[in-house]
Amino acid sequence: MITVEHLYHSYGRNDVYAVKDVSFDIPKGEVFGFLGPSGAGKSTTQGILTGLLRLQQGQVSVAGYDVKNLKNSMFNRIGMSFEQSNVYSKLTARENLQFFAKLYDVPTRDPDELLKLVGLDGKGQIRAGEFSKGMKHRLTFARSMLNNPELWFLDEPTTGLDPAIAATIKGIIREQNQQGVTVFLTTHNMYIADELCSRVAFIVDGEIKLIDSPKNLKLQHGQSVVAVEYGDDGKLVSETLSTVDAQSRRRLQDLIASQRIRTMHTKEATLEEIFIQVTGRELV
Amino acid sequence: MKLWSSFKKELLIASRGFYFYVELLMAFILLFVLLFVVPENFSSKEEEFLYLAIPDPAIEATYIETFEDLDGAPEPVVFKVGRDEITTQLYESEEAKLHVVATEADMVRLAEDRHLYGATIQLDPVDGQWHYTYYLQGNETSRLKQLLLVLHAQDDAVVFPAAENQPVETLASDLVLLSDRENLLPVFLTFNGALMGFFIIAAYIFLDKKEGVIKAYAVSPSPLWHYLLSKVLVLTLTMLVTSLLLIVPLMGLQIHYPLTVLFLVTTGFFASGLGLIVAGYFDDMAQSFAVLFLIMIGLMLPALAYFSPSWNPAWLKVLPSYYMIYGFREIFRQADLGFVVRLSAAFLAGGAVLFAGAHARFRRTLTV
Repeated sequence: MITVEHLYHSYGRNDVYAVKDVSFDIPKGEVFGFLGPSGAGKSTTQGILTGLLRLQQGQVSVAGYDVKNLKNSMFNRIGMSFEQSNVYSKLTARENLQFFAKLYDVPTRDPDELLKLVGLDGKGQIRAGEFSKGMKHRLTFARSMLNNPELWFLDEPTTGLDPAIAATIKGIIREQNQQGVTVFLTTHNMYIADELCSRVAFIVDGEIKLIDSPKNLKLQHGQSVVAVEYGDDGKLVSETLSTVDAQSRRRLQDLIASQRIRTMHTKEATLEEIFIQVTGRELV
Repeated sequence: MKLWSSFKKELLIASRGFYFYVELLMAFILLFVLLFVVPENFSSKEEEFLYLAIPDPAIEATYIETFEDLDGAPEPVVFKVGRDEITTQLYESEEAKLHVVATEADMVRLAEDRHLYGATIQLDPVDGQWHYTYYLQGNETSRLKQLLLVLHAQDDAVVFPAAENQPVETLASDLVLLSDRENLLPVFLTFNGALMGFFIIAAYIFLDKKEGVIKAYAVSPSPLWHYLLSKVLVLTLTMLVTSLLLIVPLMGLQIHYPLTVLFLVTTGFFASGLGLIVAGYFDDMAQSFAVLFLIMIGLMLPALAYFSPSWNPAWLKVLPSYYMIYGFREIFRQADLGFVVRLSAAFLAGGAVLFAGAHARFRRTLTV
């Protein structure tokens, strides 16, 4: 669905690159996470893929279209949800969706259905300018689904949302993906990437450091240990035990049998820990 | 269809915004001023204070008879100067208002207080000659001073008949002469329509930049030029409505309306294109204010030449507002309508160039 080969981009058109030799492929139906700290080159890459920035160097194909010679018809097949909500504040939520729906050449979804989907049912008549930040974000997200996109660009889709709404949004993304929608997810939130992505790319200083599935990364970089807390003469004792070493496994079995365990957690590495381990940088 | 949707959306947003009503309100204020404040024609009567130092009352009476008062009788007028009241005898003719004052001191006080001319007219009892002393304000041209000096070098019996018999030939006899009120309209239309349009379209773009909606539009299948053109169309429509609000009550049905609409549309298109170009180079109103302000001041300069025809430097003719003002005047005078058509074509072509430049600029500066 997306092919990027040796992509470079310099805002000053000099040798200071915001994106350097970036290459990746995203097959149809994948949820691809683009992870990196602020200023890493995530938005620049996404901007080039969506035509907001001109392609300077490299080969980029999006939904079968060569980005160098972008055609407006490409936008009938893609959807884009921005990190900063960008809706007409003087139009109502419904008017916002109705207006953008008319710009497509393909059948579009019912604005009221979309508003309901993102938890804005009953708010269609309210001007977007009166919405909270989270509501505007949901409206921006709903707009990106208007044309039933085959390829969906999501930039920090759960930023600023309360956990319940964020869970709803994640549910929608999963559902759309199950229906065959390819998702390009740009985020610095490793939890949402871990939950949703089939593969993730770590980008730092404009360069991709690694591309793999979260599961593989955890296997490669995680530790096979279990952290337990148990009671011992009225005190709470913590212990970390290997699940590979025979002696540690016996000790763990004994603790389970003694019924003194209060808490027990596997110590697999988080994506954030792996990111720091691989890039030497934090996801901020 | 997409352009129509964008246009309807822009119209809806404009109708819910502040600037749309500012433009309408301005049109109503200007209409009110033109109809109820500005007279049909400004009075061109000279108003002067005279002190007549003529010892013989019979000669004074004869002299006053030369004033050609309209109703044949003087009217007493009381002026308040400081704490004092000074009464004059007003003689009003078709050309002048002459106040005869009882003392020379009062005449000088009135001339000073009212910033008008004063004069003492004296008949020398010895040599029987008339002597004239003028009290000017100090800002008169040397030409006027010299004129006053030579005015009395000849006998009145020679000067006045000669002045009255001066042949005046009107070169363009088929011109419709505009009243002073109608003469103001071209300037008002240029400022209320084109220049307000220039400013307001920039304000609309800055609002969209602030809300980030241009990016949302840019990732839709609708071309960016639809977005820009829909804004231009709304501004042009608003300008057309507000301008006709001024034109119809003042000019009635006597002018060529299709040509008027053509000129309004093309000048509106040009001014909007200029506003788009400026908006393409800045992010918000605060950043662009100095440039917007300077352009607006520059574009207002031709109004000075319009009201003071003696000041009309060649460089003024570079400014598009110069041709807007004179184009409107030609329409109202029903004079050179071919000139208006040529101007419309030029504004349309200029507007198209500005629009293309703005489009290229917006395409280049869409950032993530």
